[in-house]
Amino acid sequence: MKLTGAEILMECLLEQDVDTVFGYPGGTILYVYDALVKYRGRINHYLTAHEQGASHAADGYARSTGKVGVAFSTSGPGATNLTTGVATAYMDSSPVVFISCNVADSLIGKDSFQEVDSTGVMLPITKCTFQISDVNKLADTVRRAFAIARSGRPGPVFIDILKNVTAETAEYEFVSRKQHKKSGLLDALYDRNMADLHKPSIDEEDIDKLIEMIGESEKPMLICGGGVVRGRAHEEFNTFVNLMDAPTAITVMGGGGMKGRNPLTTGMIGMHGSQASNIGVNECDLLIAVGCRFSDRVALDPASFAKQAKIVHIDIDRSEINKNVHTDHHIVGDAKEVLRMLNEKLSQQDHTEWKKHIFSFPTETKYDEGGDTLNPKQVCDTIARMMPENTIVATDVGQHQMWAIQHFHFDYPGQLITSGGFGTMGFGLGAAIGAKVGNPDTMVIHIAGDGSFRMNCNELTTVEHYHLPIITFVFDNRTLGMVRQWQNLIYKKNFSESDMDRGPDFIKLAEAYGLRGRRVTNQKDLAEAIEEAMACGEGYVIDCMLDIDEMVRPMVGGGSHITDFMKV
Amino acid sequence: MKGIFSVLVENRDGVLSAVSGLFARRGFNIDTLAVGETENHEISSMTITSTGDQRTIDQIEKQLNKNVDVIKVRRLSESKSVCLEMMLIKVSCTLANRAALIDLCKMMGANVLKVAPKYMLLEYHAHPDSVEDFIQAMKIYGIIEIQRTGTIAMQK
Amino acid sequence: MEKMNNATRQTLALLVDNEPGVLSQIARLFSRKGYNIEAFAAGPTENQGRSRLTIDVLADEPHTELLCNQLRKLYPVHSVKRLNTENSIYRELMLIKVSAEGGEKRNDVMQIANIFRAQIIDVSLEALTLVVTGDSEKLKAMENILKEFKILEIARTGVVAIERGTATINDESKERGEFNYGKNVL
Repeated sequence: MKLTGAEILMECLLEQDVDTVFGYPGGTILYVYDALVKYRGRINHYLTAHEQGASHAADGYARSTGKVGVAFSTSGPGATNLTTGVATAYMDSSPVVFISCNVADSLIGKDSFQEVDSTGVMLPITKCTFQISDVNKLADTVRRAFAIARSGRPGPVFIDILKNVTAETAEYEFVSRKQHKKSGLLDALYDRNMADLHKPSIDEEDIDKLIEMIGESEKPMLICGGGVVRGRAHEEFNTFVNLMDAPTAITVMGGGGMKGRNPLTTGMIGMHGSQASNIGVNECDLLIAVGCRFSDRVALDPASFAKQAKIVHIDIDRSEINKNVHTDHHIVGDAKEVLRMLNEKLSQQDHTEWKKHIFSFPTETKYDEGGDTLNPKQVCDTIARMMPENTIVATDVGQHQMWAIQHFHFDYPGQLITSGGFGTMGFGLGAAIGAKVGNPDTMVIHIAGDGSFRMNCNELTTVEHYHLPIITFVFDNRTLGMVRQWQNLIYKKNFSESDMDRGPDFIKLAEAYGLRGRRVTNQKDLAEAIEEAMACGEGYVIDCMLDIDEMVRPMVGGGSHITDFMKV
Repeated sequence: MKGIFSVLVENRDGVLSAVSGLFARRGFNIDTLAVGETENHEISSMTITSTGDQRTIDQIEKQLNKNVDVIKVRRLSESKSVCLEMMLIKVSCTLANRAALIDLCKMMGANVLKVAPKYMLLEYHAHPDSVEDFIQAMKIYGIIEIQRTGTIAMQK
Repeated sequence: MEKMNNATRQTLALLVDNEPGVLSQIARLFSRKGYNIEAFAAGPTENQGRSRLTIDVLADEPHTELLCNQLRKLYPVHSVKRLNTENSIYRELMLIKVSAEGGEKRNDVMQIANIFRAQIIDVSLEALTLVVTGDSEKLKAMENILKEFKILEIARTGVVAIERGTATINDESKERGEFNYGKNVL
């Protein structure tokens, strides 16, 4: 069947079971948008307000569904507008295929209108990049890109297609995803493993060694990292935790990797980790981290991190082993499979004394109750009480993000969508759009700070146009809260450029976008607003007024010892 | 057509990345790349060979000249320059064919660096085309491993 | 870089896809981590789609290992092996053009060339072009002696190295399997 490049691209998306694309058109990608009309109904395109919004939406879609997200952009500024979203997906290992078109063959490299070296820009922030200059290679490259994005340690892949390629025609033959392997289309990928084409297996000896180490341990501690979420290994991890009978800390990216209300969880770990988590890490004799890369926000000071303990690292990416923290043993493999093998061999452990000791420390931050104002915990608790248990929470970055992760309990992978690695302010609304599109039957809320919300609130137009009932909660303290907190504690209260003493009025803004909103200052109003928002079935903005000096507690300074809690 | 660039650059990090990026940007593959020291430690010399059409090769030359870390760019033509490449090659051999292999090496001017019961390690340097021929000749014996330096060139 | 007091010259051999942008990607990784590349040689291999690189960097032991791990993670990188003078043979090729006007001078240069087993590949009235192979010390020594006669130009390939024994860069190892896991598509 002879098709144009643009049509082949559409067919390839269908091969991958892609039915949703986020994007923004422009000069070079017009042939693709032209073809999109023909595929309407089979491929639904969501037009965002900005390419960055599209990139976060595709990312949020991928994180919440476990499928590969797809975003389109045009060349030049279109591609560079994607970059923040690409880097966000890369840092959090989210499988997204970004497709951009570049200027035609005859114009490339001539500083043409809207031309940029897109693949060069994307190279350091993607798992892999491709530039396609031959229409005959289009289908195979797209197949490769999807395979790379979703396999191993997932991550974003960027495809740059020259404009002329989207217009030229080539022979296309449908190949189902299952057949991709057999048909030899992914040849280049397979000879990586030389002759035998099997997935490298997990070393049984490594498993046995860990079982032995567990047997010798009296004070084991576990860390649930983002790898458990990406690998959808939550059930296996829960079984493992229960068999281990060990306190388990959860990283920011690990939220949803185990039942948030499991009595064995000590809550968050790291800079804003609970005392139980951080002290547990510091006193255990065996620390097993699954799918966690010991980032500076978790390990803080790598030299003193769990120095007294034997550290075991389970990860799919070999280059993470011994990168930040020196480990005593490691198992390379998919979290799901490794945990399944471990669970098979592991007998029920009992660490009652050790648990008693660790759970004598708080796992959650306490607040003064009473008064007619709102505090962050009250907001989170009220939301949790009134919303369905499986509500998906997408956050922006800052204080509100930490509060949300500290106080909500996430039960399954994809329930928490947050930019943990890259810390992208303005991520939340786009991500919530992606999550809602991917999970139309699940309640999706967006937790924002006033600073973050202001950054990309333009996507309210997308919320309105596609009738996505996303409720945005703005934790509004009229300041860049996290910046202020640092200035308060570290920069001698020199509040340089962190005050957000300016517009817009978020309620009027919501109205301007054709949505409704309400400002609340106490729990009663908040509860009413939530009720109204849930009933209206459209996007809704709830502006929750908080005290300007509210802080995220506890806090350990960057690079400090993990139990060096600051006086907050 | 084949382009041979001899480029003098500042010897600091990031330069190689910038120079190789110029090629990548235009979708050009670098066939070979050799970076060696010069008599001045502050300066490295690169020899890059690439295949492409005349205009793009011209453009790459211009872009190279524009880069602040590039001190000097020279295009060399194959006919007016000495082009050489060296290769280390590990070839499997047996007692039976060893003598023949050594003879062949002598004839072609390859140096035998090491002889072991199962393999021989050879060094061969010549015009890149001859290096290619030599590889073909060695295929009969079984190539275990090859490392080529990439072309370097100098005007006659 | 801080913490790099024990930096020594390290040689890495890489097997990579022979595609546009791959060299740039690898070079970028070195510069991003702040390593200067001392020497770099890239050439095709017996296998059409692959290039083999030899890269020399100044780094200490733990940083070298970290760097290798980062390289192994890159998609187009198939294999990375660390080589050292004990397990490998090093060679470099140098072209050197020396000014030698008049018969006497030319004779002197030719004699030196003989001692170093260098070949003379081009002769003109004013200059001689020599080619010599050897390890870095030998090339340095020859360069020093030829300084007496004005050196007009030098081009060096950068060091290439190959392991002794039948071990190759293609060898499978547990570690290699583990790295493939992270980028696997099966």
